Amino acid sequence: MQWQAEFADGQAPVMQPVLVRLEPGELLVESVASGEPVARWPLVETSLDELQEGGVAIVQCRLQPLAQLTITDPALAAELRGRVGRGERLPGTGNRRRFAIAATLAIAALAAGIYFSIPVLARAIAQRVPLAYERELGAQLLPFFSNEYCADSKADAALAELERRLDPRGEVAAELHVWRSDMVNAFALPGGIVVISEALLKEASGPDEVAGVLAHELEHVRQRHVMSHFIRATLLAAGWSVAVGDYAGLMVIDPTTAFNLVNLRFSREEEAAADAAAATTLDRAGVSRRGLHDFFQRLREDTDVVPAWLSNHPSSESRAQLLGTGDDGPPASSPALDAEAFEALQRACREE
Amino acid sequence: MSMDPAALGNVFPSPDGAARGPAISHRFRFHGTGNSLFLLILKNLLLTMLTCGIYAAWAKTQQRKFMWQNTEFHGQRFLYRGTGEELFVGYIKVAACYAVFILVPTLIRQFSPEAAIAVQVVFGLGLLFLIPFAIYWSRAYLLSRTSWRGVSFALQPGAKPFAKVFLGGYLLTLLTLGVYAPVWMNRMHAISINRTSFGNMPFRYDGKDSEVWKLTMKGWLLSICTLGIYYFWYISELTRYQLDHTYLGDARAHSTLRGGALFRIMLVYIFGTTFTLGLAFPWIACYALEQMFETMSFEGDIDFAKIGKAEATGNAMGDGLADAMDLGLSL
Repeated sequence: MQWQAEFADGQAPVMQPVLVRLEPGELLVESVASGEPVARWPLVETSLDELQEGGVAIVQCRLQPLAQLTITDPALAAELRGRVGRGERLPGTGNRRRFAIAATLAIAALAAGIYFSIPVLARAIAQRVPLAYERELGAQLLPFFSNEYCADSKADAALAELERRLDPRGEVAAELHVWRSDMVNAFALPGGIVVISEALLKEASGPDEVAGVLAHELEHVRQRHVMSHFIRATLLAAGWSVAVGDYAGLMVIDPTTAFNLVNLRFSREEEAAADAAAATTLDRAGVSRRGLHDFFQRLREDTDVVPAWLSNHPSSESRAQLLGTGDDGPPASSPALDAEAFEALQRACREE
Repeated sequence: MSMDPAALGNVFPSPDGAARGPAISHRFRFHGTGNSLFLLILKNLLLTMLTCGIYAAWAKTQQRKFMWQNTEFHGQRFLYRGTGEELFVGYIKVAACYAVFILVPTLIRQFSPEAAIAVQVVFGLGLLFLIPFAIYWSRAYLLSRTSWRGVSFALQPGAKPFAKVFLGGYLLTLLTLGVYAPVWMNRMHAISINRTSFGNMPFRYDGKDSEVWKLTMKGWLLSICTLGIYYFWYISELTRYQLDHTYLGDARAHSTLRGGALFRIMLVYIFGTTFTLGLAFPWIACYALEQMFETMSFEGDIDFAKIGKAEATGNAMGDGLADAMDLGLSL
């Protein structure tokens, strides 16, 4: 049997009508004009390219790389399919809907696997990153804050006393600083650096509140949350690039936004873990949970305007609820600091 | 500026100005459909995820094949001959160079931080100088792997002339605060087209710097005054100008692209991708390509029998380098 097709030999851009026959193990192409063979291609060296739409298929041979055979007869394409050495077809040629559903489900499953495995992996890696490396990272961030640190010997002594009360065995070995800022905030930097803002100290109604906040930040340092956050963000970015390849530009949603939303969820989980562990630390140190509980209640008005899923912290209300009524822990042995030390801490940034 | 053959009664002036008889119009057409492209993208995404990114080279090759081989010129489809394997090897070579780029300053820093900074500055400047080479090599690779009726396109070897125009124009554009930019772009376009050939028949571009400069300045000013709306009319006018001054043998390229059509395509793209979170991209891409190719043609005789094959040049490392430097050539 023979089929009509068009042939270009690759020497000049001229298509000549040809007749194609399938011989044992080879494709014979003969010129319609002269009847002479113009190509004899071993099937094992031949490829069938069906990525074109409109019923066009292109046949090429590795031994004659510039030549091409253009076929529009679906019967010939069907004959060649499966016999040639290599073939490419548009996906889902059997059943497009089934292919689309199967591929979408598979992608969703893979994406879910990545979503759930990345934080676990990030935590495992963070625990194994040497503290010295994390300190080096933290040292690079220091200049942004160190110019605004308040240096006061009595305040530093008060902070050291608080730290000893909360971490009597010195397991965390954090470096504490008071930061001259109007923002009510406290945060942990890589390498065990904990920064508490002047505004937070002034807002605190008592030393137990400061102790609660410090206990929370020390937990971030102990559990290597900061390092885990960096690693998680890197893994998300790398995972996206690797998984999506060239198709990043297809998505209208900026990948950074997607990462932030994913990272925020796990940031919230880490914050909740730090809150729970801080409560235990306060209990062990004999400090009342009431301070931290009241601090969250006060923060509720300012911070709970943002939907929880957009925030990197759980809502202040839920954080306060985690601490129960504030009196749920064992009875406090004494305030976290005496009145004089607390006053010195609140005056950390006052110029002499 | 536009010269619609229909308006001229199908008599199209030849490059030498003399009117000839009824001219042959070699038209483009795009056959790809959004359904097929969507399934192809899905398959490629799945395999790329499963192989942790390794399949990306083959995925890119398949997408190019889809785009090229669904584009028809004068009744025949283009063919993309590149392979995933050569693209992958190109990526590996670029990754190796990048590793050296990162590791060398890191190692030097152990001995001398100051020397490491100096090395980083040198490397950074080197990267800047590499940009035009990456652009040129990427284009050379793509053209050498594109054929029509069995004959490949080609770019003259040697990126230095292009690099000189690029770097010199870049400096002048900076010094003139952008006023030189249209001339710079026109000269880069000219050198790219004039060094491109179909087989052994070169393309030719004779667009004038002064005309492009006037057209662009008008476009930019009106775009600013209209808060960007005129931009589409500017781009369509520039496209028509560039194509109308491009020749292959005795035939002349032609475009009937209008600002309104381009504006409509952009609206479809913006609203389509926004409201579908990007899922409609395959359909929008095929629609846009179909519309754009409808407006393009070559008018005049092209004696295909006189065209011979070109020497194959270009390797995939150029393509990988352009990709790594995010030079926006990725197709």
